[in-house]
Amino acid sequence: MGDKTDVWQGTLALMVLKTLETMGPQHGYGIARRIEQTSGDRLALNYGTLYPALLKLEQEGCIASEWGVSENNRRAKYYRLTRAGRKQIERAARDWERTTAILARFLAMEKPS
Amino acid sequence: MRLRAWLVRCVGAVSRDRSERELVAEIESHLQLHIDDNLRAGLPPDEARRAALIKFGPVEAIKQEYRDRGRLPAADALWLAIRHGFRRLYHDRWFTLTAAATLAVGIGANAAMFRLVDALMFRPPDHVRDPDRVVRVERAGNYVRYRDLAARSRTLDLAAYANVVEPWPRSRGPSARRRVRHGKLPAAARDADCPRERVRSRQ
Repeated sequence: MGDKTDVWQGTLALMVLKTLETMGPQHGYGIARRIEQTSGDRLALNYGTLYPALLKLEQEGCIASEWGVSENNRRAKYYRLTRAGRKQIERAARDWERTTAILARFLAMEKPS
Repeated sequence: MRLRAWLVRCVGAVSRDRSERELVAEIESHLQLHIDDNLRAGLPPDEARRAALIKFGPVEAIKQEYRDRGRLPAADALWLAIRHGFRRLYHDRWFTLTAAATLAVGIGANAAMFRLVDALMFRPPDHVRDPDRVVRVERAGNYVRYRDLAARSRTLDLAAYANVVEPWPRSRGPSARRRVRHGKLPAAARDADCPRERVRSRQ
């Protein structure tokens, strides 16, 4: 795995939402590929782990799904962002920025010389 | 949002076969898309499928995680326990029938006794209009004496005479309940303010 980072649930959900926001409706495989590409292949992601996360988001009403046909004629379940999902992106992004800003201050601390 | 997720999971607990089939179809479709990509990238078919499976991760573990999220594990366990209970009951049929019959007879007998006691001892008779103004005159003596009392009493309407031996112990004391035992007794005090006292035979 080297320097690749494990993905944990909360961040994965936000990545999925953000991916759907930029790409529009997409199937699970497409989302997984896109997340990997966006991370610059620095994420070790078992594609399968995406599905429980998708189910959770769907239960929460952030995304909706329906079966469709892919560009190379394969049946696939497509997910799309809902209005609640867009709001959730804003909220989660704000939380995330706040957290990283706080953490950045700690990391920037220097030993008194 | 939490509430919504919880409700959806409650529904999921009921319709699990459908979601299970849907998940299998979705995984199959995912692998197919990945294999297509791998084939396009030039991998041989076997290798394409293998790579897709590896990248997907442990299918069974993911299915399990999906299932746990799709429903309420606790509700699942409860459902299993209930089914197990019914199977056991069906297995020991005679025991079940005996127990059920015992319970039925017990509950039935209790209910019947309760109705009987309630109707006889705790409720006023239907035909008495004002049960709390009805008094009983004890030791009124014989019927002739009763006729005298009825004619001369100014506080009471004496309406019935009974020469009956009480079948149950009577209570005494000032707060003792006065009970009408016999006959049709629409007896009520003439004057609402008159004290409801016992009228003794030797007045």
